Amino acid sequence: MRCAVLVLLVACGAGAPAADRTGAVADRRRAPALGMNDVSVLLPLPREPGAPVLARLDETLIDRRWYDALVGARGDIGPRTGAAIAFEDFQVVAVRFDLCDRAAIGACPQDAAGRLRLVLQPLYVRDGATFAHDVALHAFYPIPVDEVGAVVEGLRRLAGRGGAAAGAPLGVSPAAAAGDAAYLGALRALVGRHARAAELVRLTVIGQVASAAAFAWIFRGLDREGDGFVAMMIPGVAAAQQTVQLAGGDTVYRSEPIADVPAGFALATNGPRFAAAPPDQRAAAVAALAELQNPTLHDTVDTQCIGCHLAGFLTARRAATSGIDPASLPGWFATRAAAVPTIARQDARVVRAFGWAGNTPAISQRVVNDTAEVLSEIAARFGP
Amino acid sequence: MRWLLAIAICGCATPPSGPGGAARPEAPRAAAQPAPAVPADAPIARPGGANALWWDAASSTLYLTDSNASALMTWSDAGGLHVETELPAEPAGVSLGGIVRRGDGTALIASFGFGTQGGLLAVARGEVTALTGLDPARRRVGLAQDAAGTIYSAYFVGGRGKPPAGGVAVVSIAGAAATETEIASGFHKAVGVVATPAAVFVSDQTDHAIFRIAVPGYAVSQLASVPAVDLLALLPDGDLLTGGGPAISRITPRGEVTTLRGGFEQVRGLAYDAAGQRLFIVDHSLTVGLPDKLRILHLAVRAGG
Repeated sequence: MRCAVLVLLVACGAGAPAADRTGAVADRRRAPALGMNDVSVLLPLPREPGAPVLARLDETLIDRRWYDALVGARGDIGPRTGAAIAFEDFQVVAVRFDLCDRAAIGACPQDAAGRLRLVLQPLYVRDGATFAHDVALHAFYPIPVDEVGAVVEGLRRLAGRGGAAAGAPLGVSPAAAAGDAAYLGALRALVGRHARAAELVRLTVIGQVASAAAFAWIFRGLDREGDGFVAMMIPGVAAAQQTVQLAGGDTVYRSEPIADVPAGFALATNGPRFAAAPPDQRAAAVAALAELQNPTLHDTVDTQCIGCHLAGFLTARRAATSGIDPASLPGWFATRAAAVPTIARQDARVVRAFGWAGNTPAISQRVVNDTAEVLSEIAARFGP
Repeated sequence: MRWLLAIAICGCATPPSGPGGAARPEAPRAAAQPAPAVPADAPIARPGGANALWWDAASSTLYLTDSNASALMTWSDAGGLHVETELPAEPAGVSLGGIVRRGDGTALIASFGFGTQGGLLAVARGEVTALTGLDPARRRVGLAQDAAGTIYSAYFVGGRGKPPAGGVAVVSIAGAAATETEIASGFHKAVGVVATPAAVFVSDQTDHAIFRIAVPGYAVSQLASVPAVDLLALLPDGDLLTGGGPAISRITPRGEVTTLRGGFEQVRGLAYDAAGQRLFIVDHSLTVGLPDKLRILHLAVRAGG
């Protein structure tokens, strides 16, 4: 739900001996600069679900009680195919690092814990190929503040593997796609170090409504409270769940509840209303979409789930039909960073921001922007 | 939005057969006529989202409702697929249902309306009229027309957390106004409907059942339990076809259920071309990123059953 980003790290703990830390600094001088694919890592789908690329879901990552409370026992989330999904069907499909939990807009405080996010989707085989169901868990774990630097150093040691230049667009991890065992081993070690069920602070889900005849999704989450968890309240709507149903008519996302934040967003979700609106209201709607993708203006702390997850496709669609160039708007996040072309901006049925739509990668502009922002903050704090 | 509608020809299939209430596969049999000249698995790069089908024998034209394009579309061997008439997009969202083509050439189209804007659209010579006088809370999916021109609608109210309550009505049209006279109720999610001189058949997605409504008198009885149901099609021999899942079920007038063909994602609209001995199928994609498909299955059916 945070449409945020991550970074990755590898190895080296905060308690490393001084000599080791010195070595790390020396290594950094030789390491390539971090690129998009080094801090936001989209893994390829495995050839066989029985052989996960990084890890399958187990109780070392997420306590089953959290999963049951969020998905399993609720019974309302599942693929429209009717296929049953189980805890064990989920696998890690993406890893993201961030310098903090983005509890406030703006650069992360230097004394904040970092954050590791795992994206997990249930996988299945169809006609001999591996697909991901349209359900995803996002699991969030803190990275102790005194280990964030080591994580960055670890990421730098891995940077550039697979032949991706630092300026390469965000896509499926080249190193992972190449089956680089050393890379995957280091990434697995990193995940294993920080992604522990006992440390899980937030678990969210976006998944298809099991009983819906149309494409529809549920968005909700849990936050840690003491040794237990409570429903995550969604900013702006004072509710613990949002649902969206896709209808025809140049894309109508029937959302419940929905907040018109930023102003114009609700209009942007309704094609017929958008088409009938006067030019100034259409411009405001496109501006709202642009702002939703700007991590310097909005983040999970102030943004409803559907804001980030619908903005990618809607920006492209509403811009095309209105002739408004979102890049010309003041709220647009100016970056040269980009993602490889994906289905996320082409198909209204795709609400995944960083994961897999069937067997096609989906990467939203919001995740690109978040990743660029994280890279910028890493460079500012830890040097280029 | 723009997911693609692909068109493809499926292999041959056969007439039905067999007793028994449980669905079972039919044995293959060669079609009586050669396949029409449509390239197999040739995708058509057009917006997709087709739902219901209607085959117009007089013009050898297939009519489709397409919610994403918000249009009535047509397909023919010679002309391919194209938009016949664009339909108004309602703010509640577009979800177009069944089609019937009346004797005067007017096409009637069910508009689902999501519980607030349900209705019927009349399309004649490119002009679209939203018929007045209908309950907008009714979520209409199926439409049927019998040989005498009587029109039937299948609908339900509720849904989205409320139990659906479904019914079937006779639709009377005078100019731009329409009235519905309910002939049967007590269904749940009533979606498909077809009509014969002696009965109206309705499919219920909640109950996974097909019901027979006798004409006259409108006495209701359950014809068959089916693994899944969706829109209905009537074959010349009196058998019914329906989808709703990965297979097409064939139901005889005695309620015997067989599986005509499987391997689809989700079968929605069905229409039969008796002269060409082919069945048109909307294969709806349940998988994000994959296109819907219009498929053509060669199917020989002896008229009269």
